[in-house]
Amino acid sequence: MRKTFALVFAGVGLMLGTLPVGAHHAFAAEFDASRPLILKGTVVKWEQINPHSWIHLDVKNPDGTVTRWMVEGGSPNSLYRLGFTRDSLPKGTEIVVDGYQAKDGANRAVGKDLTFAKDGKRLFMGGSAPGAAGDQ
Amino acid sequence: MLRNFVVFGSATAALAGLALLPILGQAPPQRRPAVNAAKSWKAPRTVDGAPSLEGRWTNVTITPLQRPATLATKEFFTEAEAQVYERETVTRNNADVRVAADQDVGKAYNDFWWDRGNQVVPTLRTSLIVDPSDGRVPALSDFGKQVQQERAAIRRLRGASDGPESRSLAERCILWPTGGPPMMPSFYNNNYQIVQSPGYVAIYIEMIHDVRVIPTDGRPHLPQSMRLWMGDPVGHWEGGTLVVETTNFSADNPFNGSSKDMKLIEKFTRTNEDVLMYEFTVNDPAFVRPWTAQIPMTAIAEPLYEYACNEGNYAMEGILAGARRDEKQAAQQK
Repeated sequence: MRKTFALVFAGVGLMLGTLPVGAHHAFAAEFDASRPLILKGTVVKWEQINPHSWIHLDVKNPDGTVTRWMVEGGSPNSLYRLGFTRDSLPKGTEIVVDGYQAKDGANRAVGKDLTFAKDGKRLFMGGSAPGAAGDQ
Repeated sequence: MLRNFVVFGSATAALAGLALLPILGQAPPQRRPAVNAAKSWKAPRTVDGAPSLEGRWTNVTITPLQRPATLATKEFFTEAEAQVYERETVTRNNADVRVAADQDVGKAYNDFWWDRGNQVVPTLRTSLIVDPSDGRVPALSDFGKQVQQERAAIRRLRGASDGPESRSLAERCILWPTGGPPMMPSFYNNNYQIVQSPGYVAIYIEMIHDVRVIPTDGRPHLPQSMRLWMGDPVGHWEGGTLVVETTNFSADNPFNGSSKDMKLIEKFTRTNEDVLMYEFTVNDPAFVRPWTAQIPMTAIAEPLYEYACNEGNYAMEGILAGARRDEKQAAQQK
């Protein structure tokens, strides 16, 4: 799929019970569940700041223009502890962000799933699940 | 009891996405740190002869403060039960399992960012609360209910997102609710560094960059009129245990329904090279009785990283802008 920019309104059928929700802030207050999106773009910078990281990426629109987006991630402290540095996500990397747009319609999103565009591998693969980190 | 546990377990697994279980099932059980002192171990001392709690510690655990109702009177897991509980809790917490959008957005980003831990406490207790024996926070007293009502009334005076002051202390980068005291595990950056000098113990809390400076020189508490976000701590040594009494809390930073009149007693005991036993007792007229929790902290080798919070808090702008959008939409629908 080489389409560079697409807004996808997905209907997810799976319904779970009460989920543990927690983060530095209420994500539902900042991002809009009715605005899911998929962004494919090139990393411009990765702000490794607290309370939340922000990945800035340039997304090429179908008409050839470019839009700068900001994607919110977690605290960089634990990534540092795992050996991630500024160089782990260098400028120019093509990534795909599957997430939700900001409520106010700004070009900001929360990055639910982040993958490398070249091979579809997950960025920040693994997780806290025992064994899951092994399948990087 | 065991049956309760199994029922609880399977219901959780069904909820939490069975697809992950084959991977998780293959994970080898992790070593649990021993919490008791080895006979040959000699507790370290600082240069001035005080027991040394110095070092870096983590309180990360998936054991909840309160025992899940389904575990009823079961105070301890067996090793096998602990492993089942760990697998299922980690699976349930996994932010990579996508769900319906209204909840999906709340689960935020890739699971890799999170560090909630994947083990229960090494004592295999089913709750951090050890007293009362039901593992639950005791009921609020009449006074406690009154305090709650007053807090709710103050909250109603302003809209949920009129300005930064309407948002939580955490969102405003003022305090993290688990920074305490008492200090509780959170979902990442559960790290602490203890440094001592004659007459003082300092605890650096990574989340969200606070330092507790605890005098151990016998001084009295501050006057009652002085109220601090994290209270006024006064410490002393009982054998190898640091006992810290904290009073003078602010009314605006409650812990599980506590009032500004809480008298918190914390005990820090190094039980071996790798374990710092942390226990706290909440004495507060807001509850019908005192209650106690225990969290074994374990040594870590990694450094703590600064959690500068205000500097990068773009989310506050996003939250307030989102609220303005909601108001505009509501007005248009009228």
